[in-house]
Amino acid sequence: MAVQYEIKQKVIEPKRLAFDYLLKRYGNRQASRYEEATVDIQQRENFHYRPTWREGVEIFDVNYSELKLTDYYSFLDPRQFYYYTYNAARAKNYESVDKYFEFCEERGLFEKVSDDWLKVFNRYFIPLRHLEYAGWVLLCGVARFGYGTSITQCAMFNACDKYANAQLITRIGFELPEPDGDIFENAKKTWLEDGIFQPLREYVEKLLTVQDWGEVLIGQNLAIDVFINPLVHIELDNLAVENGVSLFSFFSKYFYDMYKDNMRWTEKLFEVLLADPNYGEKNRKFIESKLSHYAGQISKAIDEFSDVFKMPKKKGDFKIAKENVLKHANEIYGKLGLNVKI
Amino acid sequence: MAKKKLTLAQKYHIYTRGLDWEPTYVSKKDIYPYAEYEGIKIKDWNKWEDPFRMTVEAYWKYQAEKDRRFYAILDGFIQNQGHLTLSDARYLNSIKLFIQGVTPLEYMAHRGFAFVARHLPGPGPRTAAFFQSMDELRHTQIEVHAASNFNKYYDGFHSMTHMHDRVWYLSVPKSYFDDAVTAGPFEYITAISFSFEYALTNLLFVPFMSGAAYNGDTPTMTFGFSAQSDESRHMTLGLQVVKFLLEQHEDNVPIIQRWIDKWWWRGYRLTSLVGAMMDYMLPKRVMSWKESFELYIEDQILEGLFRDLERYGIRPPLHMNQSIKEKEFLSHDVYWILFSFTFAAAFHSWIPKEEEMEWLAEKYPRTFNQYYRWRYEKAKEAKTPLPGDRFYYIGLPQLCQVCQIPMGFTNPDDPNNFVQRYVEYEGEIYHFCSDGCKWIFEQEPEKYVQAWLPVHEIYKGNCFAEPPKGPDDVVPQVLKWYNIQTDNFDYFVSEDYKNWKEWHKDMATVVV
Amino acid sequence: MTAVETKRERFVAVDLQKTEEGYNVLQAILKDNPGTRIDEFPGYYKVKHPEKLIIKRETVESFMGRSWDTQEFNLVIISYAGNFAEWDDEKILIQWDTHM
Repeated sequence: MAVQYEIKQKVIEPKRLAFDYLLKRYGNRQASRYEEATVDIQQRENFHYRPTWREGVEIFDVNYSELKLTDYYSFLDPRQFYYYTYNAARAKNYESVDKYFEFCEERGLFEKVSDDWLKVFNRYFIPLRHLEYAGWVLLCGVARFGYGTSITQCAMFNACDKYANAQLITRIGFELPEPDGDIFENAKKTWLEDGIFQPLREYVEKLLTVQDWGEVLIGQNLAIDVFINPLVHIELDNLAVENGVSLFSFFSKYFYDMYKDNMRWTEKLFEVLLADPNYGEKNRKFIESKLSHYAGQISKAIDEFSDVFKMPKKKGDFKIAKENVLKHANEIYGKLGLNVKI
Repeated sequence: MAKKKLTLAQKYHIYTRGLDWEPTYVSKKDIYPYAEYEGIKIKDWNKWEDPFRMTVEAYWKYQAEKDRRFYAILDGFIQNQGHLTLSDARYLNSIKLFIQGVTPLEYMAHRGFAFVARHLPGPGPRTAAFFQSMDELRHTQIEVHAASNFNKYYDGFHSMTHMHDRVWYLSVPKSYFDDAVTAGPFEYITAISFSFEYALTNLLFVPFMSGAAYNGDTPTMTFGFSAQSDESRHMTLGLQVVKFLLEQHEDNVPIIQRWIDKWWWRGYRLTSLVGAMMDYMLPKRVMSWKESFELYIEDQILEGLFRDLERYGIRPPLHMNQSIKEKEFLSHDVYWILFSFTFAAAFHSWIPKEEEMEWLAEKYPRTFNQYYRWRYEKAKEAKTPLPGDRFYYIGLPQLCQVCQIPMGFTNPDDPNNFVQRYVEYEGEIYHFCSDGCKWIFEQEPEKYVQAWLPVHEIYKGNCFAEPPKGPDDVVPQVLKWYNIQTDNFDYFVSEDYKNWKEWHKDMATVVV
Repeated sequence: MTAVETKRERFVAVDLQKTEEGYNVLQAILKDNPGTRIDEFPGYYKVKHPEKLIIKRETVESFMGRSWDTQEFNLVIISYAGNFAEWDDEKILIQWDTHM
């Protein structure tokens, strides 16, 4: 026997509308689930022990980067992603990828890609799985060492997207014919030895040794991503179409959309960093000097890809492609009001 | 040009580890600078077997589905004012402790596993650590969202992150996880994936969550079980990591054994809070601490897990026998501590009702009536000037230097006395609640002397909202600094109780 | 001094959610694993076996009446004791004493 209460029609007035720290920030209103999941979640004081793996720092420490904010929660994700909304959005998005694979398999489209294009594709595209993987590692570092849940959470989801990209490239690779032996072993060899990737790989390996999470974001999100995505998923995809291969355009759009989505939080973060009332100017100096370096390096690195444009039957014009990529990059830097010399 | 046939394992290998490469432009040590200082030796990361083969796309799909179910249940509970159908508002005090104590640990675990995903040089375990980091963020957020609705109607939920960094009893869980994330990546993963996930989270997430279900709290049951379904992956990772490290090099065995010894006791002391929650704070109880301990630790861990690890030269944790001896004392000692200091806590406590004491006596036939019942009988009479018409220990307790629980653990070999241990280190005396905590200190004194001990910090004057105007103003200024409002004192003088009665007075009672 | 009374046993186990899907998985386990014991708790079943537990895709599907991916086991499991000795498209095997 159990006692239950029958609730008569009665609405109980809430005693408070939100968590105290949210009421203090936002006034007497209900908080969104994004705010509840994010704002002031990270521990901030009275840490018990110092890290044994690095001297002179606390567990969470604003000094993990030269970039600083007066209030780290002045940055909020414009997409308002928290775990559920992020996973639900990505799961839904990926359904179309699954359907597309199904469609291509049913029609045998992967087998129909011309051998000529396959050679081009295997050279520039499949090795990019290693680049995406490195992006994952780097963003995991930002997720650990960044300050404030609103920033680190975006980095975590971005890391997840990077890993997913690496795996999607792999999944495409699994579907392709293998005229010259193991597609992934070849791609790794290309990544490790082929001239078109060496400056890029050198860039990435050096970035992997950088500890400052702000610098990592500049090198990865504001430089690698901003150059590689338009180059691969727009310019090289256009070249594929000109050569009669439109099968991969779907994936290029998917990857490019993913890139644009992550640029939403990236651009917002840098906007906030530049506009900070106390640290804005210092941040600007750091961002402009680092970005001039990284954008310059990556711009040089992709020049090696000119070789790829010469490979197909219908050759592409790398000069025009490069101009487009630079235009894209400069648009983004211009939008942020950054003075960057590439 | 037929495609070659690959097994699932081979395919997964390509999806994950195939992505890694040996750097040539920089030294690997510069990419992973924290991989060697702990002394763990890895001969071949390729010997790692992926315990589960989860791709990101599968992860998105199943995790989104789990969360879709959780939020549907939560929204239904909110719409139906489900909090009114809880067994009793007393129940929520266990959830307050959970939200203030455990939820921030989920968050710390998220960041800790991001560290492992970044800094462990092996791509296999790193991938698993990455998914776990994602999961831990999930747990933080679903728990916060479940608490949000309770926060609107009840005290004790309003400032969990703020309190976690400041309030005395929350330094117990906080120091535990601070200890783990300040350790190197190998110790961290052994501590959390193996010792905590495999051995201890079951106690937290299974019988306790079953208790939540029994008390009418479906959102908590749902996040608990749903979180624990992720833990199944984490447990698999923990076991795999430890076996992998043990197989890689014989020099790893004593290091791992030391970590297992340390983290068993550290985690067990932390979990003692759950013992108090299960035995005292659930109005309707599913099983006792002792029963859960026997099922989940003695059967599953000692008879199962550690027999499996014998062949690697690993024995059960050093102080396991003490935990077994304590199983009829632990929850009573800890609840008594929480009860005594409730004037400075963000939850309520109460004297167990007569039928609850009967239950405790039945579950603990050798200890409850003998050593604990009288305390509550006295507590009814020993009045203090504070609200609640019962006993509080007015004063500040001495804390154990390692686990940071007030030194009130009964010696099972001499049940009329508490255990007290001390060590002199560099001219200072440090106090411990147990041989386990003392042993942990002695392994790494330079670490544990750094502890931010809440009572010491109060004495140092670091915990006041404003300088106290006199001795009577000390506690009020500390409480203000904690942001404790009407969250403290006995349940029966609380706003929670007053409101609960008010809300239920014109509701029809249906007996089913 | 208080004597400690401990009666221990060794088993593998899975803790399953009390949902429709959890129930179907439970039925499949009972069919494929003679000697299985069930302890019932609020919200979950504890399924124990002295040696091993196998969960077969085909059997689960026969109870569900639809196709079932072994990854979906993630949606009903709460906890377990033992090792996942195998987890592939066809089956999940939980037992102790498996080594890499």
